[in-house]
Amino acid sequence: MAEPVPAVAASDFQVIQAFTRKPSNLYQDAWNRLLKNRGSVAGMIVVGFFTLVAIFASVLAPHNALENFPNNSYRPPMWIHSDDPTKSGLAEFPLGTDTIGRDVLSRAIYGARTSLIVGFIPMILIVVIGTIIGLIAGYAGGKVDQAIMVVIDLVYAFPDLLFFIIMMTALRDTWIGKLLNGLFLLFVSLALVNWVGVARLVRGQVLSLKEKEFVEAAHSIGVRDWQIMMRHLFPNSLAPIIVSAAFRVPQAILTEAILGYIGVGIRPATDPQSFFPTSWGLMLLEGRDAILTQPWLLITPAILIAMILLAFTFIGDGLRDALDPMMKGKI
Amino acid sequence: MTEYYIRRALFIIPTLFLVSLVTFIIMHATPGGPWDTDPGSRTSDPRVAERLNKAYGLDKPLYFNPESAQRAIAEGKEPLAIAQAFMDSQFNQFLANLAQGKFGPSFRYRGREVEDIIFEAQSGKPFWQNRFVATAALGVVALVIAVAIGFPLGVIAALKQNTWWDTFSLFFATVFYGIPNFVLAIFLILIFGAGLGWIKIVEIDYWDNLRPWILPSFVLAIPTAAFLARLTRSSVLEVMRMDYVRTARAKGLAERVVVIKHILKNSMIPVVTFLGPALAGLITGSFIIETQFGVTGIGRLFVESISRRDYSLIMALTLIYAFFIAFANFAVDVIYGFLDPRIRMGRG
Repeated sequence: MAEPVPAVAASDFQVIQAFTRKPSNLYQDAWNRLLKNRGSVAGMIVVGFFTLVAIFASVLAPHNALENFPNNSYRPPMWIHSDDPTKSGLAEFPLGTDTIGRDVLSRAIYGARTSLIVGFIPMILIVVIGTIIGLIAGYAGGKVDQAIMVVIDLVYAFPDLLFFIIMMTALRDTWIGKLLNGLFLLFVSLALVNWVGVARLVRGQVLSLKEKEFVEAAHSIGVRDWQIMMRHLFPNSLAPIIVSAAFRVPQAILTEAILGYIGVGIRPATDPQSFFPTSWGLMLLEGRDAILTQPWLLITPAILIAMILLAFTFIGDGLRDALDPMMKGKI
Repeated sequence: MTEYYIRRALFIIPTLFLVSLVTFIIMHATPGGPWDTDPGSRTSDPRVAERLNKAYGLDKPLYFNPESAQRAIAEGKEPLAIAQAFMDSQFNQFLANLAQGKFGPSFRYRGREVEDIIFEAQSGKPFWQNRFVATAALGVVALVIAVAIGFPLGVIAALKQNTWWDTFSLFFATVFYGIPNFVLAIFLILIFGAGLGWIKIVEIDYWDNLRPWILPSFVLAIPTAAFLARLTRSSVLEVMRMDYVRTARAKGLAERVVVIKHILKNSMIPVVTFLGPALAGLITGSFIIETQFGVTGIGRLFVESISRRDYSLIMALTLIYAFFIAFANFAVDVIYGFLDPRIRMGRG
């Protein structure tokens, strides 16, 4: 920021002031750019909305997600009327009920919890593991780097969806598979495979950063290795990590939906007090076989999944444009 | 440089080994075996299960067989025979079969070899009408559709940058890239199958007519087409700013020539290199679409064999998928090296 010197005339000062602006950093600038991106703002609103719904699910949902209403199964959404009063929509069940008479709207509301947690927890695990390993590989170099890279290449070559399917099927009935209705196993599977992407990215960043003068300067005054990693290398590779993290979230949500749809996703809860009673992937599975008779069972989760994935895609796109203006418009 | 490619190609082997080992470990770490859930096999009798295990080699240890080796030592056999006895295990049996190009017998399709299930047509059909070809054909058709839609869309968006065309195609590309194709398939099945009745949802014979292929290949193609449109757009935009394009315009070439000969030709490079992994992705990523539309390909077979614990079939299909992906990654490296010598130098 230009400091006005006393000798400058008042008119000059005004000119200078017109060209100065508040001090700002990369992330402040990026945030401002992100807010100018209409797609990202729309995405953030959608995600914010779903987050609120997930947090206040127990208040918002008209019924418990697992409670069944024996005389109200097979109800279509409330706006569909039929001559048969048992097959007509009711305001009590706005989006209809499923085969055993559970309220679709309530299940969808509780399902938002599962989808969001599936999006965020593995993402955090992936970023933490990937960043640490990538930092070590890039900074240590030599044999350590080579060894880590062989592991990374091998994991990278493993077809990830196949790995998830095999994990979820094989360990389904073990104690690991039953923890948190299978959510724990899903988190672990996602983390086991996806850290390599982040690790590769961080390693690449570190390889170029560690040749820079500021790292050499830090070395020369005797800064410890781990401090160089945490204070210099990590903050300088944060921007691409954030972008990569943003795209991990929809990927994880999609994985849950796919696994749910083919019937190897999380396990249906039996305890009505469960915090994650159902998921959109499970709802897809329940709707899958009733596609002709009760299409609303399938349409509701399908629309919700499409919405949240689109929202995260737009946010990720906007974040990339905002954090790395050189990349703007690319892919 | 050749050395690099050879090393890179040979890397496929440990990759596939790891893939089969991990799959094997996970599949066998689970309670329950292939005879459990089959109502037809009368597993209530443990003697039957024992015999089945023996017949399929499931009574052997998983990785190494020290017992059998000790027996061989006690019998005073040759060192080679002892080593052979020590290696007599389920996993090594699988590897030995694999070296001969076999995947072993299927556990659930009794009396059939896995490679026959995958590569052999039903009786009375031409040899190429098998499950593997069905999946491959679906992937190839989807790739053709994706290129036919995505490439022109990307070119138009770039040439008319910041116009209504650009905004429109970029928006649609992002939307269809974001929506997963199996969700799209749900809506299309509801509209065309349940609503209009144009397609049958029950199993149909895919080989006799063309119509059932249209929807699955189209649905499979859409995310790839959307990604391709974005890739093409950014590539064309980059080339348009190059000096040689300005030179071409400055020396008075017709706009058509500039666009086709200078811009499009050069912007094809990233697009072409993307096609290999795209095809691998379409072939290995089609199992949900195959399940949804009832295509008798290997993807649907994979989903079915998982729940039936058909170990040998799962191993075979995982390996085939892993090979596709590993080979596609290798192909990209090679093609990149040819198209852009700078990368080649940097890697060597």
